[in-house]
Amino acid sequence: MMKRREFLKSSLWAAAGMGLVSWTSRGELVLGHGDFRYKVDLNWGALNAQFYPVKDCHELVQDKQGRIILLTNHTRNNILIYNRDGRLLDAWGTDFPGAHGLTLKDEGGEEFLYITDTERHEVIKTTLNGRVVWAWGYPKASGVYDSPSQYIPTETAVADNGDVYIADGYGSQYILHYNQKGELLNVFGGRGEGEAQFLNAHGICIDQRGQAPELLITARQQNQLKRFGMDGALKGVIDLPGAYICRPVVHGSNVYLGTIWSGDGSSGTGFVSILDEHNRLISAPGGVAPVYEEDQLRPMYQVLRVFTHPHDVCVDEDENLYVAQWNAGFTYPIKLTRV
Amino acid sequence: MRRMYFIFLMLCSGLALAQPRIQLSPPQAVVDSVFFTETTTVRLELDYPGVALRYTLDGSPVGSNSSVYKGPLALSQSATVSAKAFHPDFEDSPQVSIAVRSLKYNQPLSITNATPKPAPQYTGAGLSALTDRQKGALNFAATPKAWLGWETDTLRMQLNAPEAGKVNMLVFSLLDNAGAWIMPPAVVKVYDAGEQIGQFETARPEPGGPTQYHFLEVPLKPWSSDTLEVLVLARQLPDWHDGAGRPAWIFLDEILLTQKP
Repeated sequence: MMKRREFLKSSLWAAAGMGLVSWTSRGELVLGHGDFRYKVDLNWGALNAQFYPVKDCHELVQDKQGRIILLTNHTRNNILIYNRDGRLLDAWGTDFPGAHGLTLKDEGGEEFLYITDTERHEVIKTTLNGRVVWAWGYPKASGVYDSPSQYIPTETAVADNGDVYIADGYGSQYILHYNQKGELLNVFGGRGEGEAQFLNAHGICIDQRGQAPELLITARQQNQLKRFGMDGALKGVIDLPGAYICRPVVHGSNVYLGTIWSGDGSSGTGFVSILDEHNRLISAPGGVAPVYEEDQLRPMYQVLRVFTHPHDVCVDEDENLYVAQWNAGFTYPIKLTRV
Repeated sequence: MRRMYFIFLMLCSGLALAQPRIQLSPPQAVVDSVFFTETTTVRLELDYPGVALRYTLDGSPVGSNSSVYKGPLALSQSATVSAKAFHPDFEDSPQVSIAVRSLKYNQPLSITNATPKPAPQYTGAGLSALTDRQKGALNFAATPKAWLGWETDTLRMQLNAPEAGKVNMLVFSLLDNAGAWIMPPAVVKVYDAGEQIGQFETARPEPGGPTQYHFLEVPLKPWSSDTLEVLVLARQLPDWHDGAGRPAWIFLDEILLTQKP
């Protein structure tokens, strides 16, 4: 019987023979595995840094006009809005020194942005052109916080009924569930190594793929994605060893996750993780080919230094990806075009 | 034939111009056990089509003429395995190094005191963790029991070594992770009843160094009592570092008394 490694080698050589590995005929690098393979455009979002500087590029969303909206913690322009070709359309925002999490929600035809600010210890709701709707401070009513400094929110998820879930990923690791009036309904999670707790509850989203909506929440330091009911009850834990996943993004039947570090967590690493409908890793652009042995994912690591600390992924209607990176030498987002 | 060759060359150079310069990631280096008595096995991997891994065992830099990795390396002596990945379409990877140490000539010891105590968040499993022969992970948070961490200018330790003077080297097993403000100490001095019997000074670190294990080896003159005093002077974080001027953290997971090979 052929050993796994030999099988992998032979199948990869077969792929190489078909011209599927590494480069297109035009010399473009191709990354990823299985059906989820992409051409890399490293210069997609590049701008003149004298006019439109970035520090960390933290997160990206797409609005219904198809525009790609980037959040950076540079207070010259916290929001940069691109078209899909990487042309700058608009820029605004000077009040978000700790701009970190960016979520878009269509509420009765109008789209709003939810920004978490790790330095202001606040979540701010704005219109698409930057008018502030409200800003929520630390969850005093929870009874588990003594001061704003314990609250460093990293991400939000907004349900169809207007409820807002906030992940306190750099603070006390609680998930805070509010209604749209800002009344606190529930608190769960918290710091710890228990199954329903978190070490770096960095990202949260609402997963509508199943019969009932669920919350997907990353436990980044634990290399885990955790599933919860909307009421905060734990439903399952998905192990992704070697993948320091930032925020889950559900698109179609897949989950996409910027993966800031990989392997042993060394700096300068990272890739993009793509899960299938069963939440198994099926493609890792920039990483080694994912392999499951007895239902356990072999520990993942980076193979090519294309990405430096990918922090978020946005998926457009053609399933192309836009990748924002943290601490990557003030570089702009990278585009991956699906092939 | 000649024309074919010319066309082939043109195609190659055309590709080379169009391709962005992408570097391979460092190979994964996995060791059964960093400390061993008989043998240990080091495995190298960077699973990508067309990648060749090359390595050295003596700590010398890996080049395009170094040995090609064909399978797990079984080692019976202390060694530093260094490896790099090569591929015709990509830049060579950064070098990764992993040191393994034979305990064949090891002498028993215990650590009886350390002043100051380790930082409250990095106390490991206590001072006994420094002599349990369990190696901490490179990602120190993954093995909190193995690593003891200090943020101090000066660290003093007392070692009890019942078989006094039989071996001639003290080894500090340390973590080097500049990004986490952790560096090997600048100087280690060893005293026997007030008389200095050993000293070692580390090189000033350069920016961009990898996270790695560091074995600091202090040659010792013969000594006679069964208690040794060790004075550790932290590295001041260099000019290029965000924390310039402050003492680097000292992360220690093991101390050995052994025979210099």
